Amino acid sequence: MNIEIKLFAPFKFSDGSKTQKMEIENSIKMSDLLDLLDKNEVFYPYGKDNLLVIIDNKIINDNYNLAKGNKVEIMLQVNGG
Amino acid sequence: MFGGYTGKSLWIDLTKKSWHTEGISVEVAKKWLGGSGFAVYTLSKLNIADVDPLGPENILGFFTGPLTGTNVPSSGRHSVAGKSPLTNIWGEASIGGNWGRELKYAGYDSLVVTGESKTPVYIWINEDEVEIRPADELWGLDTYEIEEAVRNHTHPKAQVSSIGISGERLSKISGIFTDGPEGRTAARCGLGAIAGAKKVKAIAVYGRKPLSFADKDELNKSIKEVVPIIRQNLKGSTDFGTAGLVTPCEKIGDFPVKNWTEGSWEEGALKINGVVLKEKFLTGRFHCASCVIGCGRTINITNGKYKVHGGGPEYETLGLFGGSCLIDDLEVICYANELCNRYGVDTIEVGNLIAFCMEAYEKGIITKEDTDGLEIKWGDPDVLIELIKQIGEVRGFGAILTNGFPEVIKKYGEEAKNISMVSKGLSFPSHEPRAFNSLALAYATANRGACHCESFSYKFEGNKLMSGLLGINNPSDRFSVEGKGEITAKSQDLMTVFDSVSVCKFIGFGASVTPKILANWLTLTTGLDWSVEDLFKCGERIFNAKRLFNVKCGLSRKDDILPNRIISEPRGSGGTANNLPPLETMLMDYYNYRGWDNEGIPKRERLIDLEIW
Repeated sequence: MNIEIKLFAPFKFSDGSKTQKMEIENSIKMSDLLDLLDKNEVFYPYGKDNLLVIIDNKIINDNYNLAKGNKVEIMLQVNGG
Repeated sequence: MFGGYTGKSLWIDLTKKSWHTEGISVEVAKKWLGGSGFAVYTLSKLNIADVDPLGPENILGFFTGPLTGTNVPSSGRHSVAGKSPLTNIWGEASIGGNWGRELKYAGYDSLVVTGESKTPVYIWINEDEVEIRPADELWGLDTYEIEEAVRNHTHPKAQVSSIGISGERLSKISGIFTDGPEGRTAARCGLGAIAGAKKVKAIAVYGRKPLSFADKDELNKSIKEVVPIIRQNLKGSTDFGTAGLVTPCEKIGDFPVKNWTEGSWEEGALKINGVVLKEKFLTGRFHCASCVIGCGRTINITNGKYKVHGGGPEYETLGLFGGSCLIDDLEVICYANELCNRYGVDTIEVGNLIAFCMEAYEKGIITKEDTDGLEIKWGDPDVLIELIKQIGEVRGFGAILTNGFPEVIKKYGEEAKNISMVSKGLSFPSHEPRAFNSLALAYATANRGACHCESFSYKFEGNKLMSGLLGINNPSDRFSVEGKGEITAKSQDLMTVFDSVSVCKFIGFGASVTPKILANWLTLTTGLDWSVEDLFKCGERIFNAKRLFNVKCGLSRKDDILPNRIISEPRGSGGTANNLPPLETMLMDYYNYRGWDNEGIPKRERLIDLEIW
């Protein structure tokens, strides 16, 4: 199924783009997607444990089951005040 | 003497032009910990809840914690406290930088300034030598200039705490500033006006007395294990400062927009966030004492109308000057931030006041007659800069604004009150209470007024790892209602511990430094036995003691409120489009959990249990 991923600075894909469409398996969880992106060093040097993931203005956790057409927004969750 | 503490408090009486020291016992240290705890112990002992905040009976206190000055990461903090001239209740601000550490090295856990001087003075503390010196030549200097000026007369490495001209002119939104151009500040609650009323322009301190430790080797071993975890979890803060919060906060609906009336501002936020600040203007970072994060931004803007060299804006400033006033020009915000720092005013109050003016002018609540002809429009950078100058210099229309929302509401009435975003007279930081129900409760119950730092409840809410630190295993979603009393109260108690030990709360985020680690570090430093349970009970004790101070100031349930805009007007768009926090329900839950009665007064049984009856 198709999803769209939008990255916010400082993150970007290896080709320099910030938005990409991706074909993924059905019944894949958000944690699986993040693992895949992390393996491709999309989140380097911050790692996948300091991210904020949003779909349709909602905060998404690792257990979320991705659905067809999801627009996944991923940004660095800065710890501060 | 037990480790970490010096065991001495320095008291300076400006009326009598004298000073003396007082000892600090083990019993007081175990009961009140330090920092924020010592602040409430001192103010309560002096029984000054009913004094005039600008009169000689009020005090201005500077309180370090047992870890201040040690090599514990990010321990370079202290609390500044007194009865607030802005709110007329508990006034306190926590500040980083280097001054607190220097006070410890001079040999003092705390400094309490009493009385008032008839002429401008500055205080010079050089270990056991204390002088009150004339400050006629310093009066009128801004907070950047004062550091070098005072060092020229004292010591090149003296740390200087000062007020700007706003504090001299008794602005009730003025703060206490340290570290010169790097601008660390105890901004909130108008504490700068207390110094101004006492005619204290600056306090310079220098010392090199060593601290003692119960077990320094074990402490160092533990610190070495934890520092890499802090660095990894806080790398975003290191690279982008608190400005790095702008885009994520906007996305989840936590960012103020147009005086808290609208829900989203994505394009605007993308122009003023931490990544842009780094790319365009960052020339370096600065650290508070012992800090391993280094979230401070040094920026340089050399071209154009808005030249800046010094500390860059924090998230709070970006939220209120940017989102709330609809200004998406980062150069303007950087310049406005420097102006506020130099004048010595609180950017949170200034940002909220100017956003208020923009809405009030649009609605006809204030007119050209009030503003001496200045037309106030949303998003107008010239208006922002001009109003900051008037507020900082305490002149014109700014002379009203500079006394904060209580005076503005008094002058302009109910219509003004409806668009003033304050609780207990203190205006909202750049975190939206409609975005997190626990935060709404935290704003309504915080001891100094609307404050996110007193609890950081939203960091724990919905986060299993963080809420586990509070002993809450099933944290509820941010928009739910159940359990908000407990999570808000416990997070307040834990944050009170951080303010009393005097370490930066950022090291607690991501569960980098847990309460267990903190208790261990305290024990290894002081030699006094601290458990996690002890810490939470101490935090609860200190929080309740501040509430009692406020009760003596006349505060009760009627003051634990939020503006109508927050409880009945949804944002309408963005990550928090429809949520309205059910404050009344959560308040009853909170009072119950705290052991307070229906009027928000701590019950006798709870106070006996906390050993403050």
